[in-house]
Amino acid sequence: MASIVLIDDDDDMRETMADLLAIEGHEVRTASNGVEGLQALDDRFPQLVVTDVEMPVLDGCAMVYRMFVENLGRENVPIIVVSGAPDLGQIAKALGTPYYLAKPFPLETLTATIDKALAEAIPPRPPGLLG
Amino acid sequence: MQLRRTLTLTTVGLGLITLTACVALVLSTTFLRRTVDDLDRAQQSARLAASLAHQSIRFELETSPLGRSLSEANGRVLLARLNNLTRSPEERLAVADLSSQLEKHWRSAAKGDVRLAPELVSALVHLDALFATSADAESRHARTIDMVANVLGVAMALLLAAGVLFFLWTINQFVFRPVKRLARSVDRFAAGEMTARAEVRGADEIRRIAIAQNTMADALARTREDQLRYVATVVHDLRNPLAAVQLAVGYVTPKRPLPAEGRIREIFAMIDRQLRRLNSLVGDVLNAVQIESGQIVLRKTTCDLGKLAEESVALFQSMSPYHQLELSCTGSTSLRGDATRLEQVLNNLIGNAVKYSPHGSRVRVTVIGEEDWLSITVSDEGPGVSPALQSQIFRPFSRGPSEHEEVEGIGLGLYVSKRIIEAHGGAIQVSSTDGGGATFQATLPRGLSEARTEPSPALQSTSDERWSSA
Repeated sequence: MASIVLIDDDDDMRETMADLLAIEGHEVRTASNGVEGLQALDDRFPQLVVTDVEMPVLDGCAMVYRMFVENLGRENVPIIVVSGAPDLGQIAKALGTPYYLAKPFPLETLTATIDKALAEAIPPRPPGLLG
Repeated sequence: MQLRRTLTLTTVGLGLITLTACVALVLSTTFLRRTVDDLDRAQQSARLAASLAHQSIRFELETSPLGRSLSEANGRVLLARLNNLTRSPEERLAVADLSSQLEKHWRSAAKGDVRLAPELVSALVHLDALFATSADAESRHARTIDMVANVLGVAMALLLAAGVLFFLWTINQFVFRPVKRLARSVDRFAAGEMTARAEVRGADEIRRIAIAQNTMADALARTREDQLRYVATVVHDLRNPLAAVQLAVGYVTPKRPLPAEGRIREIFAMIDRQLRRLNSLVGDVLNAVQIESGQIVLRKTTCDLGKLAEESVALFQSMSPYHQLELSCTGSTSLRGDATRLEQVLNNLIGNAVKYSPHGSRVRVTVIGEEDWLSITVSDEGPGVSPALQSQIFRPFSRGPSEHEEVEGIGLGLYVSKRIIEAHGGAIQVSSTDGGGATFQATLPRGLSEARTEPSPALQSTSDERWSSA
């Protein structure tokens, strides 16, 4: 159905999510940190990015900032941030994306959020970077 | 401002004012008394002078020789009394002049001439005028003293009132108000307002209390902040395995056929992994909580630290074949301690070394037995520990920098290890060289001498030693 890049450093979480989204009919590419995620984005723009926040090498927030700052077209890809952090709402607000998923969540919530993000396709607009 | 000094100075000041007032009161009454005496003398002298004048006139009217000699005698007595009352040379001169005039008068009277000579009259008038002037002067003097005493009295009273008012103002300004403010801030802090701090104002003594209160409040606020951060970390770390498990439930829905058997096995293996991880995290938290509340019990037996290290090294070598684990033991490695807890420490230290160092690097474990002490050293070739992190690495929930976030655990391991080592009477420290590599060294007392005092090895395994959190 849709092309999704999924970034999470937890192998089990990433593979389970990717597998389930593939069963749902999506075309999923995976990455385990922000740098790999950016590479996956460079290969081919997906319709949606689903990313964890706390990751080694380059975390989710830094990755989203870089997508936005480098201004290569990646900044127009909508993003769902996924995290178990208690202040996830704040993180999403700082990134300027309306889509986030607080861990843990059932499959239905994941698919509902993905459907919503694909339908609305609101790209992230970090308020801190908009001047 | 120092409260003690101010109170002392104010008390001394008020005391001095009161003392001065008392002295002034005594002095003014003495002066007044003297003036009254002088006034009395002047009046008496004036009266005597008047009597003498009266006597002289009567003398002139007296006809009998007896009467005249009586009058003369009376006159001499009055003259002698007048002479006694004179003070100034001017008075004495006037009295002497009168006395010679009277003598002259009495002598001429004895010859039969009783008329009053004009010199005598003028001497009498002069003396009378002199005494009248003196009485006036004394009276004026008395009024002056009265006025000075009045002014002094009012001034002292005002000064005293001002002193008392100043004292009350000082106490209010530097003691009562600051204490009230301090109490209010303590109340606010106690009511949960963590940012409430006491104003450092007022007397030095009270400022010191306020500073102490603020320091305590800072420490408490920091502790609470730490705890909240720890809870957030724990929650976050517990949610990761939970998320994987909950998501896996999505494989079984009424809408879709079940996955193939092989896939189901994989999914359940994943669920098992995540549940184990969850359980281990919960265990870590419980461990730390128990240690923090002093509920952990050490079951001390005689055990071999070298053997425990060997087991731990073997365990991690099997789990991470890409690392080279080396163990060396020197001297006797037996000691008295809780084998399970010491194994936990070894697993933690060796596990950390493996986790934080790259594949292919060496992890060296050294156990050295001295006479009374043993030491365990674990060194790795990882990124090392920065000086800033070294100071807080043994605090609960501190974890290495973010590039190691793939590392499992929630940062309680070193804290728990430190508490276990300390419970055994030992110490643990970290050192790190430039260019990487961290070395953790724990020292433990052998403690075998205390074993001899215990009844039998059979009982030793049950001799629980409670230890509380310091």
